[in-house]
Amino acid sequence: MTTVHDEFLELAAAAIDFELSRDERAALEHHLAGCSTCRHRVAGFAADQTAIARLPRYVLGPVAATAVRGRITRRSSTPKPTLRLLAAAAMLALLALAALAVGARVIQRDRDLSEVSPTFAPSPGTPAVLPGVLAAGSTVDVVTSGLRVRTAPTVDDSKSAKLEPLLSRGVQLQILDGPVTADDYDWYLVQAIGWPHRGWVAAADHDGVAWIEDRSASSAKPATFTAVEAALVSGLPDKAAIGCAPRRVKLPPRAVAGVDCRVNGAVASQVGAYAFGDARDAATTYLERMASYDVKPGSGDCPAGKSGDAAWMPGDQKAGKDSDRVNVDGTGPWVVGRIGCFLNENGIANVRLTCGTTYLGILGRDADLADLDRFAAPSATGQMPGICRPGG
Amino acid sequence: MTDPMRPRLVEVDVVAASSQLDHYGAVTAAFESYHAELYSFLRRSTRDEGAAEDLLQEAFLRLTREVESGRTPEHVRGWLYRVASNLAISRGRRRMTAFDWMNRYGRTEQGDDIESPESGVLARERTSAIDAVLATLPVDARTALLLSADGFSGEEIAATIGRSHAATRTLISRARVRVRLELEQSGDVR
Repeated sequence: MTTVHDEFLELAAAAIDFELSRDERAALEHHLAGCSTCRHRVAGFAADQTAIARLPRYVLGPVAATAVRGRITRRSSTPKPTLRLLAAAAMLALLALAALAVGARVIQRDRDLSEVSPTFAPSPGTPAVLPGVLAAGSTVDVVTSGLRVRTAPTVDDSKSAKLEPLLSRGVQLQILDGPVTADDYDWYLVQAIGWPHRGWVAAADHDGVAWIEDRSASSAKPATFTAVEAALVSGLPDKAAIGCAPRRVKLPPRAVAGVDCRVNGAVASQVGAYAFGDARDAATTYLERMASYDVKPGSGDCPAGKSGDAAWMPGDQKAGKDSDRVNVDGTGPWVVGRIGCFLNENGIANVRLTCGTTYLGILGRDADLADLDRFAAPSATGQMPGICRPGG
Repeated sequence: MTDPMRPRLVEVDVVAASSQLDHYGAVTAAFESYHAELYSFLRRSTRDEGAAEDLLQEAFLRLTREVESGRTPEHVRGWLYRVASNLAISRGRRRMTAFDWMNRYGRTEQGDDIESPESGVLARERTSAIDAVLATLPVDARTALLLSADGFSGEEIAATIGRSHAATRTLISRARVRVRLELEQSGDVR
């Protein structure tokens, strides 16, 4: 049996999705004014709507998505990718079509069409895959919003045709061959899984930002370090050399290499170590970083929990060896061995320091500057802080 | 009454925006843009992993046919939700008919896959109270509530599930009252 309350509740519920008439609204407001239980329930409607909207998303697994995608695209009216040749020579078009039918290598090998020279092509006898090289037979993901597949490893439209459409982020590719270097790109011959695309793709842009990536390798295997990166990690004490991975994008200014270590400790959450060409570069980057947080050289007191900067090398503001001194913004000379601290925009303690040609950044867990400063283990003036040394 | 909680519906017309692409490109672009949210919607609407996958595929195959015959929908996302909702509701009705028939003839067995909040995969998942209550609703009511939470207005929901304004309003408001009362009875009074 419905009651008058039920009717008004339904009216209030309807108001979430539909416009009520003026009379309905007036009647509803009148009823709610005198019914606290109803008001409570009406508030509950809004909470329920929010709760439904925030239910966790079900995710279609990549294998299932690829299968569905494949079944849809197979049924599509254009079962094969369209060849769009910008160079209109009829002979070229015919050759490109032939290449699509029998494999892109035909074009690559045709001396009239391809002048790209592979700089590295793994032969059956190649013993190991070089660091950063995607192995033939491995599966990689497209990690850019639109990846172009071409019939030959070159961006020259007169030598290679574009396959349509661009491949979207998340499409999986099987590496068949490569890499070959041409036009300043590293190219791989791939077969797109669930797609008809078979051709050449560039692995990254000119700045090295990846377009395709072996995600299983990056998550399952330890990171592959270059010699400089490995040296940065081995220069850190055990307490900081935890969860380290190469950092190859957005390095601090002047840095030549870097590693980020996800320490996740009680005091420090992250440690970054960056290598520079010389100690003056490292110190200049350090001082610029401190200045961006309004920390002036020779100010404050980190051990006492006050943001600031200090030299750990002797001879600050005195003339000395040029290779040990920097001037910034008309101030100085400042010695290149320094340590400082500040609270970042989120109020979290940060410590920065230089150890010769290395610049270290330490992100804390909270606002305790003194605690994080102790983590860096500064010594008596004249000695590198402990965190600069493997045993520190 | 305007609901400040309602997420703003942003329609990105993939197909319309990429008219230069061929049919193949248009359908795949729509798939990349919408398959994830549509799958989640279908999964929750049907309460069945396999059915959600099948219906997702069917919705995009129908889109393919539309595009191929030159009837590319003006609003692809809305069109896909309409097709998916109808597929889910039709499937639910067919299953209920089978359920009624089996009840009548006493053929219901333990372990059958007729939808129920306790059945199959669902029972093994840790679902929230609201998810569990949604599962007790008829598929059309559940679908309407999910569409509302996905940002569709009452009028759009009516058009999507193919019912009149009045019938949709009754369906969805009764569903909301039922959800609220069941949550209160289960102790969740927020």
